[in-house]
Amino acid sequence: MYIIKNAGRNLLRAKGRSVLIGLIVCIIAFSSCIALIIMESAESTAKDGLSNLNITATIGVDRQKLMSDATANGEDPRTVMDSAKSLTLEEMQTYAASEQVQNFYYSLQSSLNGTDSLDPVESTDQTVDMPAQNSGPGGDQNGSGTTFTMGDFTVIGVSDANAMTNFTSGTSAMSDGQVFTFDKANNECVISKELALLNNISVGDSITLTNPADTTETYSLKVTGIFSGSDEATTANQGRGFMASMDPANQIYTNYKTLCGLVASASTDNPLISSVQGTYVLGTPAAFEAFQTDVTKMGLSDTYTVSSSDLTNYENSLLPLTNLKKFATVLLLLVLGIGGVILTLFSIFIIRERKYEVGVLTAIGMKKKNVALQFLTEAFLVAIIGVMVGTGLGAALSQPVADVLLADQISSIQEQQTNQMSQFGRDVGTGGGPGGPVANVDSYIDSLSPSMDMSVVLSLAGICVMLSLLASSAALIFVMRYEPMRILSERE
Amino acid sequence: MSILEIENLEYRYRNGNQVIDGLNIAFETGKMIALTGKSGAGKTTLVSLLSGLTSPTGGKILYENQDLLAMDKYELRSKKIGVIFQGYNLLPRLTAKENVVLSMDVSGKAITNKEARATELLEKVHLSENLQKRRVLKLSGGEQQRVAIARALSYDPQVILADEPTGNLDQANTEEVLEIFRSLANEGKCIIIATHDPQVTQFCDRVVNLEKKPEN
Repeated sequence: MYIIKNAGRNLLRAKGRSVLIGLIVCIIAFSSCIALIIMESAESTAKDGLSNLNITATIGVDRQKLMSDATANGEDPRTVMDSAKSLTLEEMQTYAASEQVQNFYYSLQSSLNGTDSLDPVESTDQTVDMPAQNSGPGGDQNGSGTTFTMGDFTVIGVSDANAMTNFTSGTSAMSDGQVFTFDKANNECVISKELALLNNISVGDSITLTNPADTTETYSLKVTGIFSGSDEATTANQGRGFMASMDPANQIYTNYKTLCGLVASASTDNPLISSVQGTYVLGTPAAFEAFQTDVTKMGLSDTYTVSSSDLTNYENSLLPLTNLKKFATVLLLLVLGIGGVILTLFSIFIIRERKYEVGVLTAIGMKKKNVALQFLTEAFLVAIIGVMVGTGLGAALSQPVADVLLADQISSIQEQQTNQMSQFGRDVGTGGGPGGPVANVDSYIDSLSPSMDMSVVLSLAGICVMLSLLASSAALIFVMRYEPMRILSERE
Repeated sequence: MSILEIENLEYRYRNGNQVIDGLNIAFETGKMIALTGKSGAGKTTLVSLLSGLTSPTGGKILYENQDLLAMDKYELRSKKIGVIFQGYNLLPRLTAKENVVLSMDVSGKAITNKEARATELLEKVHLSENLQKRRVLKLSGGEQQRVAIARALSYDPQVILADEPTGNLDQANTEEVLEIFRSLANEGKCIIIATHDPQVTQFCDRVVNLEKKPEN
């Protein structure tokens, strides 16, 4: 008991020394606390985000595998790639039978041109050499090396409202009129506000599109609505100067059956390029994994792959958070490492200063283990106070610190993207790995809700107290090896 | 009756100088014994050897017929032998009273009301209440010496080993301290005093003169 009393009294009598050691422990606890909270919060934010994600998937040709198989088998990769066919709608619908699929929707896309009365928001005529991979309702229209002329407009025929992902996600919204119905080929469409303004089109007007390969083939659609979208000003920039049809402002939505009718009515000499894309709504990441297994069991060839842009986008959106977590881990290790060394050196210095005290205490009969216990009690008490203050401050300041650090990470990544854009003229991001190009992500996770559970508090307190005790123990070893008479005679 | 005995005691410094060579003394209870001799004769060394702070290089020290080497030295110094160091060896951050109370705490002896006992002992060595509350750093040499004496007496040891205990005291205070020692000896304690002071040697029951050994 007297050891604790003595330790407490020593701490109060040597205020400067106690405050200094306490301050070091406090700084270690403060920095560690912030680092731990960031690590924990980043982890939970990522998990929460993932669990809230409604994952959708598509099935596409696994080009990478085809290429590597072709190389391994000594075949011409170009020939193999040209012969690769996308799944037909019927095949896609087969896989929609998987019990993991909550919903299945599809859309058909085709490229058409305007007329004198319908100019695209920005026009470029481009002829693109590409393999025919049409799997539209008109049946396969394969022809290796067929030349198609790309139009200025992308016409999207959707199966139902779910397939209008820009609208369901809130990126686009009707500003005038309404969306067409989906049940029959009614030749109705919705167009962007920009396109409507440019061509002075109102709801109820008709627009005329032409086959890019044969301008005499025309298709008339009635405008039932005009939409505006927040992505027009952003995503459109990526398309501009590259391909007008990629500009969201030049996207025309109609229903699937209408577009099927347009594609079917095109002449066989100049078929309309079209492709169908099916989307499976799966919900959770677990369902996504199960769906991958299911489709294989259902007979999907390994030359096809199931991918989820939601998942990829989400993982990419975590990039600043992942970087922040890495930073926090490094910070934690550095603080504990450097802090531990400083604390040990400081403890050695202080305990050497107190060598005389050790000599007196042992000379009056206090056992060395009790002297050590007293010194460790002092270290423990200081550490507890330092940890309490440091953890309290850390918990209070972790939110603003985390916000600043995360914002810094995001701006750094965005700056990197801007640099790449200016260097390449367009986005080239794919992976986002260190040193590599940065993935193009619509928005990054930019908020962190620092939370600290008791296990974090306890482990932090434990780490700091242990560090403090270890530092003092290391220092005590220096002093405890001396005999009391030697210490006292050195003083005299 | 002897409480402490030394047989053929030898002590040689690390540099090879032999300061004590074949010393035989028996220290009886109820007696005040003065250790005298010129500077360097080994008085302080003998006090260190008897308190277990230093181990002999030859011979034996027996405490109640037990070899000191085999005993727990910390137990010996905290319970059985009270040491008054020449340099006082007080804890500077503590007050006079706290130094005395701490000594009782360390001894682990069942002493009721340590504060009151400390006050009583400090008053006995004429340290005023005001001075008792002062940190020892702020006390004069003589005052510190009196605190050291009170501390050595605090846990009621059987043997008091005092190294020049009156070196910083005036004549009146010296007489007071010697009277305290006398009364303790009368209670059956063994008081061993290393001193140069003839006033002290005259007061003791027995004087052991240590001869200075010629340096090698």
